[in-house]
Amino acid sequence: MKGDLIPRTDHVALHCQPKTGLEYNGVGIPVGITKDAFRADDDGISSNWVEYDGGNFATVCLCLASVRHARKSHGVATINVGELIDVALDGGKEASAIHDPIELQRPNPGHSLIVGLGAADHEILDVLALTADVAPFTEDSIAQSKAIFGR
Amino acid sequence: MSLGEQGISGVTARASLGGLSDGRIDISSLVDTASDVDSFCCGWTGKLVPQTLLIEREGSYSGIESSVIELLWEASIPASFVQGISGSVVYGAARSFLSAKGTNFLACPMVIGEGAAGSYMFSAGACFEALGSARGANENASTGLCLFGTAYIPQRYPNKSLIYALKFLSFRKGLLSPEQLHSLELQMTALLAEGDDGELAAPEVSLLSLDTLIEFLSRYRPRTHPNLAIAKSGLFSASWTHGRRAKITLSFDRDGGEWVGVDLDAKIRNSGAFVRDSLAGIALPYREWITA
Repeated sequence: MKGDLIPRTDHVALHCQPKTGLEYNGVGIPVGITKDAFRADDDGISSNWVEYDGGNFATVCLCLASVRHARKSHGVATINVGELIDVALDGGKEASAIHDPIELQRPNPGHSLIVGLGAADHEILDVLALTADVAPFTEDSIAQSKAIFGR
Repeated sequence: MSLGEQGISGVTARASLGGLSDGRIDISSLVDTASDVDSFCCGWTGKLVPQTLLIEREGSYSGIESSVIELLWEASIPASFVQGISGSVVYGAARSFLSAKGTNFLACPMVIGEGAAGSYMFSAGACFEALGSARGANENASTGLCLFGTAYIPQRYPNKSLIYALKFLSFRKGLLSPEQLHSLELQMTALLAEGDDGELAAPEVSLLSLDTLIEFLSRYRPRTHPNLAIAKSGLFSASWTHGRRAKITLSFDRDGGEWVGVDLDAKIRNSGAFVRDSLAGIALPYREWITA
């Protein structure tokens, strides 16, 4: 339900792109993120609730790839909500992750927001970036994205 | 595909080198026809100080919407930023240790507009400003202007950032080990291959930052090749992890850059600035994570 707090044990996922904070290792595989991967607007930092409706990494990849074009060079960064809250607290901020389903043209029922942090909190975001686990999109999600966006 | 086939043979260049020699070279005779990199470059070797470099285009290009011209000069010559005629950046810097490597040049991408005929003058003032203290050093003036390159075809390579980055790497490969060069090529491709048509506003990528990164890797030869990213500012950053929960990240700018060190378990984050010629500005233990 919109506005519900996401439990500390759960995770949120970010769709990360090459020129916006995605780090590549020496063989060109996405392995990490920088603070630039957190895209903050007035509402918060857009993300997706991984465990929403019994979901996991594969399902959140499909969800993210259904609302924005996902390519092989893109990455999905997952962050534990409890660690997010703790890192923010260590930096003097109260942050949380809330459920924020989107029902527009491209529905995203698992959409979430990281609230309490903004682009100005770059010191906290530096630390938060290090907590992220980063992996490429699944093959299925890339194929689905290509079918939707036609590119 | 040769340049002649692409219609660029009508481009000629003429250089007046310190008043000692003139040269007129047909680009089509100098291009590397095996190259698959879409850019057009010119430059010179030796300790020359061009007073003028005139690039003329005789007639329109056929099938080419625009071209890219890069000015190159020896990296060993002290230089500074100047503004090119197109507004692009002309770049050079004093790096004496590069001269021993021999084949390194710095590049100046200049985008020249639609394919109408025209002449473009690189003034003596601009050249002198670019070459800085090398002004008046006319020894070895017999070394001629050299030109090479290929045509930029937007339809084929929509992303100029990747072209420039790979070209720049090729100019600077003498500084890098084969392993470093290979990794950087893979990372540039991953970072830049997507093009500039993404859904998110992509930053203008800084070749200056890439140049500083290359020099850093050449100078310090880190045991582990870093992970690379591009910041919103267009600067490249390199990071080395220390275990799974600690990391040092360097963001490269003209003369050095900024560093951020994070250790999740120790709950510390530190940051500061560093200069290109020294690691001293990077606090311990982060500094050791780069070289260890």
